Amino acid sequence: MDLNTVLSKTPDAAYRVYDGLATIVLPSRSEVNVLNPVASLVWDAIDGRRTLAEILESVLRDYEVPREEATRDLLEFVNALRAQGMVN
Amino acid sequence: MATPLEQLVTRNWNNAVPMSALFELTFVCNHACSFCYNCPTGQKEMNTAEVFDALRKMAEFNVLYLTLSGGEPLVRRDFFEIAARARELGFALRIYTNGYLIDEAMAKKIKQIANPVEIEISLHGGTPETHDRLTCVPGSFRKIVSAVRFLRAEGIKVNFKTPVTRDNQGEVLEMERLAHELDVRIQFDTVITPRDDGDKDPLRLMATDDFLEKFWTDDAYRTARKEEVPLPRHDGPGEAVCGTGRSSFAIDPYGNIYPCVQLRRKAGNIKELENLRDMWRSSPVLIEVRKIAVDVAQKTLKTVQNGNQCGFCMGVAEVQLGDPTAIYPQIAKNAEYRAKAYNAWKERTGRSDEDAGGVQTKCAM
Repeated sequence: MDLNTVLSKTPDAAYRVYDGLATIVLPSRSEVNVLNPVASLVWDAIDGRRTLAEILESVLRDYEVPREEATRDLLEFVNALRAQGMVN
Repeated sequence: MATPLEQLVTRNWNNAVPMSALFELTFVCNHACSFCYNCPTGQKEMNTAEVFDALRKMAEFNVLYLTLSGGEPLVRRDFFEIAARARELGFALRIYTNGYLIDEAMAKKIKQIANPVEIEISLHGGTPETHDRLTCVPGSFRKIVSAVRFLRAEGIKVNFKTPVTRDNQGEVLEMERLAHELDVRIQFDTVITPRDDGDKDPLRLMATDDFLEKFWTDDAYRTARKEEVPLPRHDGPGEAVCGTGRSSFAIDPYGNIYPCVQLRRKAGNIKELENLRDMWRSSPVLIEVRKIAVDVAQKTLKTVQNGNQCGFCMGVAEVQLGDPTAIYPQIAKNAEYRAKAYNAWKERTGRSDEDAGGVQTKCAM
């Protein structure tokens, strides 16, 4: 996976955002995940249209973090989402 | 240290941000349980378009968990259209059903379209004779057992919900064995409620005192009651007794909105509202109910005998006694035996309140 990747949320995932925190329910795994604010921003932006590079720019606009570090964290996070079946 | 989810739930609870709602799609039912609390009025139930509109408003209001209930929700011909729309709108679904209509094909359709977090099915006996007698539908026990097998084959989580009555109290352990065999959870409710219109007839079915004492104190029922020892409640300063009008709300088939499924004080009608947000903040009914819920926790239950063992329901108190703060006999009786078991446990083990392993879960629906 690289920054050109476009991801979609799995249709299985039910979610809402409370106080900027995405709360995601995966029925098939009986799991509820509450993401931190940066991860929530990324989750909310995954829409089947935007590339990870575009999502990275949103993160950098909202948070003061070195680009290299943000890129690494973003790729790590979306890989984890994919491994859990939350995005494809 | 609370998890992020626990912190979020607590924050939403304190700020009265509802994360869940119960939607009674119809009062029509293919069973005729003598203790059912529903009271159809004969008004026209919402059609598909009205239900879709209600779903949209609830989604805009940020409700996450939606329980589709009834009556029997699966008797609606548009049930799967509704479920599909609800999923599109991002709800995590629960379905509360009697299971009678669920065959293999329907179980697959439920998985494919609704993909629920869980399905709750009413079980009324450990034998066909008892279950069928209480539902007044011959063959209903056999049907729900096969329904559960089909649902589990699809990987759907199933919970049995069982009101304990004097007719099925002798089969609690059999029901528990059945649940275990079918790989489902079972939750027994030892408090029978009056009908929504105040009719107290269902109360004659309340489990006997002898049984209640055994249920709460006898080790044979330990796994059935899900607690090693009946956990006391610990309502901190300013905390409410339950989530009525706070963590959730309920909508009936006519669109009326209530603080919860049990407390039937109409706060509005979803068909007439532009959005739920304004009503939620300004409704005099909801404001009053939230205040009473705090008063019950902070005053009533801190002064009555065994108050800390009451799984109190303001809705039952109101419909049965006309006062949402009044202690009703069923809850007093259950609390008495819970306290007896709890005190015996403390004496036997020398352990303190804090060692009980938690506190009583508050009703959030």
